[in-house]
Amino acid sequence: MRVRPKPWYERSNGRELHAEQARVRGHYPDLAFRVDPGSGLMYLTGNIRLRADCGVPTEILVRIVFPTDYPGSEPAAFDAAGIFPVSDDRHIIAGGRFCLWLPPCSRWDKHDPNRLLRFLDEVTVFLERQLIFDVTGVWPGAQCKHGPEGYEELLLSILGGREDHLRIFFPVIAGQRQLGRNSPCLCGSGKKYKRCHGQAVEEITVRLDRNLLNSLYKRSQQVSNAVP
Amino acid sequence: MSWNYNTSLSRVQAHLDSMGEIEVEKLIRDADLQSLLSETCCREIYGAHVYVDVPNFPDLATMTAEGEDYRRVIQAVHLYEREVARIVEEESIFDGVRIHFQGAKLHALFFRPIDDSTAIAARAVLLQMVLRHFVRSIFNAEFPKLPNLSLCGGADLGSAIGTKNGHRGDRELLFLGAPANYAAKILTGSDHIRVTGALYAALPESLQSYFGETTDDRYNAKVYELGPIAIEDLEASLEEHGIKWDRRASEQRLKDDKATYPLSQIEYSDAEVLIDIDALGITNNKRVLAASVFGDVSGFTAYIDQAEDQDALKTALRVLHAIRKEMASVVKHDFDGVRVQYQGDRVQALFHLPKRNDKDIARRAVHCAIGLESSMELVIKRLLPEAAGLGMATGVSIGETLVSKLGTHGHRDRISIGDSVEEAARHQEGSKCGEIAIPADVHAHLDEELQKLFVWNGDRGLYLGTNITAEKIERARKAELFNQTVFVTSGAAGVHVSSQPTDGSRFFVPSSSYAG
Repeated sequence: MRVRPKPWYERSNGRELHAEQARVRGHYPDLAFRVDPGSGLMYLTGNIRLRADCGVPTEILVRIVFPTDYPGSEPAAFDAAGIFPVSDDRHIIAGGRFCLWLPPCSRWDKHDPNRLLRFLDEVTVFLERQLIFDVTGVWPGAQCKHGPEGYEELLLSILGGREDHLRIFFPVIAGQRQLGRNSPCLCGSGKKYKRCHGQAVEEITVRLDRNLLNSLYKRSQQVSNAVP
Repeated sequence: MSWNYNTSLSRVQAHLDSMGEIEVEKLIRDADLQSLLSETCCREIYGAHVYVDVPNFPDLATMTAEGEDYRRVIQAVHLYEREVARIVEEESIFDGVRIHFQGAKLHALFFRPIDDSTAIAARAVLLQMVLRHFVRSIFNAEFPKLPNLSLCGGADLGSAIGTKNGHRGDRELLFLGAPANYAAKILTGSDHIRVTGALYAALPESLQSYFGETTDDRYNAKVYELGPIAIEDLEASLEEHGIKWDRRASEQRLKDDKATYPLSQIEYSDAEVLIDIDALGITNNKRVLAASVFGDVSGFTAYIDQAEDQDALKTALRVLHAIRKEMASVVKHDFDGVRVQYQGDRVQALFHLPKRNDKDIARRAVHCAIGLESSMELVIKRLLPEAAGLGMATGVSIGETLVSKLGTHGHRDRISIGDSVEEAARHQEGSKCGEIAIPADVHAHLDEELQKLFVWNGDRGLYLGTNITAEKIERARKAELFNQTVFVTSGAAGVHVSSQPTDGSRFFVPSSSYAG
């Protein structure tokens, strides 16, 4: 019979959990760790109390759900009371999940002891931005495009913003075409690939999942085929 | 100079803690309302509420050039008020209650004889007839250098709650309920005297015959408008109802007052420092560039009229007093303004500093309006859940304003008169719960972020801000913060996000948000 591995919060007599609790408690005292009896997942829930300069407190109930491989992967944050409408414009998707960033752009560092505090700070700033959106109707600060276009935007930025380069290197990025490190770069610079776009392509393949890159490549092919 | 949540919270809590047990009973015997009523001693009073206005005075106070002509306007306002107050209050004449003057607009109450609706309604109507005659035939003749003044009036009959604000120096009678409101609402601003159906129905036939039925298009309500009445008929009616008004005596008193306060004694000046209205009077007035703010507790008349028992009435009055005191604190302490007066469930405020600086004056007035909204929405409703159905409706306007204190010892009214005062009141009266109405010239003076929170309403020719609170302005201003490093401070007091570092703050450039 296969023994189910212990969840992260029970490992080492719960030392990992106690350490996280100690790091968060002083900064977010209204948040408490709980275990969901159905899924066995640990989550952090309670109010984040945003304080305006004029003293007005705004309490927002959040739920931070930890993955089974925590801290290997980052938690997910949710609008637990459903006070914000689900909307791409405010970066909240089904189930009230906060889209804090494009996943490859996450700053999550499993080796950083303050990773959870940093994550909560990002959630706090995200909530502050929600409240500003309520007032102005415009998302404050930087945002990516939605869906696959957000990823394409990231690829483009890593490739220096050149759409023609994205088109040329997409088969290489998606693993559909092999290119030797010493081959001439496809961009036509005359340099070796490893000295030209090789590093950018490598960065992309490290940061983005292979399957995702494949699906983005297929999508780009469909789009270019659809163009008359 | 700003609104602060914690300051407001502790103020309102202190107001509630110090408020005594409120008592509300029906007034069943004659009493001196000035002595009887207080913040906690309130009475349900059946009576006729009368408003009488001279719409020319605001124009004159705004448009008249500096010098002797302006002193004449001031003299006229004061002397008009003095004689009107005598006519209303003197036991031998109308024996009524002068609640106060709102600028040049009189609010009076007749409740004697107790519960005698016919006699009460008759007095209300006869007062309007007398004052119309007084203005047209006596006052205008005495002030030939002024344009002929006209008079408009409104009156309603029914029960309203009488109370008083609690400050020692400037106690004012406050009346809450439909008749106190409708009497003012049916004023036309031109040469008409109108009464509601309730008051008309209570009139003796002899007086009903002077009225014709008409419709007030603004409210689609049936009202009754006073037609002409010859002075001989008026005097006969007065005699019939035991009212001893002698027009010659009135004329003589006006002449005597004019001799006592000649133009040479009437003074006015601009104000470098905050006006102390209580130090003003007929010989010492202020003419300032000022923004007027009217903040009304929207929904309160219906709230108090629907109170089903004494406990509900007491609760409503407790809510009113808490709101009223907080409104005054926002005006005076948060924004360094002048609370001119309470008018039932609304407050009238004035902002005139820095002297002649229309930009800063306009900004201060709008921020005060937002402060009133903030106190109502964020503090009052938190401490008093029973106020959930109420809200603030606020109007603002800016212009030349005459500021003074009318009357003689004992009962004096703080007033400000000018077109902008009337406009601010109209802007408020046309606004819904949560709205702040400002004209384009005030809007033009605001910061860009704040301007964006107001929406142009073409029908009203005004900018309207809905549910704007201090924290919303703050957030509108913070919109640019998230393209750069932000500093987060967290702890037991909550989390604060800022563009500036503080002790123990953590910092980062916010991530680009995503959706997918």
